[in-house]
Amino acid sequence: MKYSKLLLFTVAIIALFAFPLFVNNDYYIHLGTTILIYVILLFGLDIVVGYTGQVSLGHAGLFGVGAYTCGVLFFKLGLPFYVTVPAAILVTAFFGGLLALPALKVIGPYLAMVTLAFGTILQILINEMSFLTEGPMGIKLLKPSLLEAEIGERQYYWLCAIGMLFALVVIHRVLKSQLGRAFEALRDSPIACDCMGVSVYRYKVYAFVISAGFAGFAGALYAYSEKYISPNTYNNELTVLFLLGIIMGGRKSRLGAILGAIIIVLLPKLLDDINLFRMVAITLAVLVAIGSTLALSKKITTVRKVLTPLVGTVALAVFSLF
Amino acid sequence: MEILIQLVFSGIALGMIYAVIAFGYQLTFATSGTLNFGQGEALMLGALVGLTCVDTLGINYWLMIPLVCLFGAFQGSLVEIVGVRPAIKIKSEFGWIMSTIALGIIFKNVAENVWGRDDLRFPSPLPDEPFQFLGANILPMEVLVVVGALLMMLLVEWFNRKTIYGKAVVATANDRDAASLMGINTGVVIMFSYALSSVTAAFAGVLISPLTLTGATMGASLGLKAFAVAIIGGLTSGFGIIIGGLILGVTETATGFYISTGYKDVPGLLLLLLVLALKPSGLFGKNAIKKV
Repeated sequence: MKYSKLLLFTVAIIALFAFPLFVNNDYYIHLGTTILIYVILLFGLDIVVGYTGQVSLGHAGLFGVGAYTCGVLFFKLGLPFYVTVPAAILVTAFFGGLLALPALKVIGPYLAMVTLAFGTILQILINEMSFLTEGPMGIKLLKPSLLEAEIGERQYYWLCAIGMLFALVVIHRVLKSQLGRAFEALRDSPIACDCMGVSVYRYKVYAFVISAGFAGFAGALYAYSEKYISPNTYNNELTVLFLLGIIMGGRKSRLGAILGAIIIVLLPKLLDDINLFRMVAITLAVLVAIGSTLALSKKITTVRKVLTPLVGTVALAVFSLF
Repeated sequence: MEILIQLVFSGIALGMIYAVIAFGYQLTFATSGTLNFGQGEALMLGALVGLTCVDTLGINYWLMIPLVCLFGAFQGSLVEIVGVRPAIKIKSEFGWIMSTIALGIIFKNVAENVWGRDDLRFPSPLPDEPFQFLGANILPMEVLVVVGALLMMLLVEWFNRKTIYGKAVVATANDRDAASLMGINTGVVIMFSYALSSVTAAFAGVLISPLTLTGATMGASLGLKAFAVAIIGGLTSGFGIIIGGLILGVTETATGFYISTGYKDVPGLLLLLLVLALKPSGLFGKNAIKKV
């Protein structure tokens, strides 16, 4: 069992690193890089959403803080890659701590709104503090250079792959440690947690800080990957996209985060093509229609239950034809 | 000093709009413990539908308001059926948050496709000539906003207190399980509260749009700031949201004038974070006692 798992893991890593060797199109390699960056962020978001069970709508803002720390240090001071990325992680972790302060006292819709407000404030600040962030103009960056050698799309992919594996190891160790157990306990019952001497307060702060650190790391890598950052990227829709990734991929799972990142990066690109979108929508509608007729004829479900997905998919298919 | 009075008056009109939207949040939160995070989009849709009625169909502004309210009721019920009911049924922690946000984004995109991305002008039903009051210029429309907002809230309060259907809403708000045992169809009540909350939002939309521009993106920040108002005033206090709305409206216009219009959203959100950090139940809300 253990050996087969190890084998699978090795194959996965080899496939991860070999991917750009078989693809000659820079665009696809860039998509791969974006997926890797989102995976790192989703790892971090999963700590807050999956393990401690708090909903955070401020992660796009934190992502932006990471990207902008990196961009500003590069643009204003000309600092190299190996200084800006750790700096981005630290600064974003600090912002995560700030977010934790109001977020500690509240739950449910209040928490969602606090984090949303926090993310919006960050976006407005990035937009308005032109002396630091160049405002709506955005900042242009160059790909980092290692050992005087210019890094291309492919080399940067490998860099991000190493970063992702590093994040994977860190998150795995964190969640297997007493920290991870405390996070889970905290989600199940905060009161029991406090009674057993595990401070809810302290561990919530830890969760937000660690999660923000990952967001900062991802943001920094993203800034170098896109080579251009502007405040409008880090809006609330990005936040929803991240949460969607976690929920579709599956909470409390590394594989889920990877799957979620693949879905949220590739799905919009696939649906950009109108013909493909039509095909997917119509196939989906037909499949759901056949499935629900079969289920109804065998009396597994009721009409009410199949009505919503059926109407939804048919509406999507009709909509796609316009 | 005159400028300050001017700012206060514009702030009051803006604040009343926030209060009306926040009132919509309160309605659904009372009955179901959930909120429509797409409330800003409900407002935007109401305003745009109103604009189409006035501009394209040539309906009188005052006759258009009931139509828009009807549309709002329909839209709110749709949100409840599609987004909230499944989440309540499985007792999901934040499924309804995601689904109402997602519906909000869908509504925004649909509006962008139907009405375009540009901001549109909404013809004012009242004369554009301001009149003098305490040395400040006041638009007749601003008075209408304040009066209309107060009227709307009073109407809903009257409905809740005096009619038998309103009593069903209050009963559901007090204890959903007990109300259900007493033969009240709580599912319908929750749907009704969603419809009502979207009606208030759509109504606020047609009130505010002659003063500002109408467009697909007008809802997002209004919805967020109205939530700030609901939190600052307390999600359970009707009086609190009016005060909260006025505080936010005035600070916002003052910030816009004295600092920069780009920062005008920030004080409200900072106030929200501050209130939550110091008094999470809001300035006027009652502390909920949680039994273990």
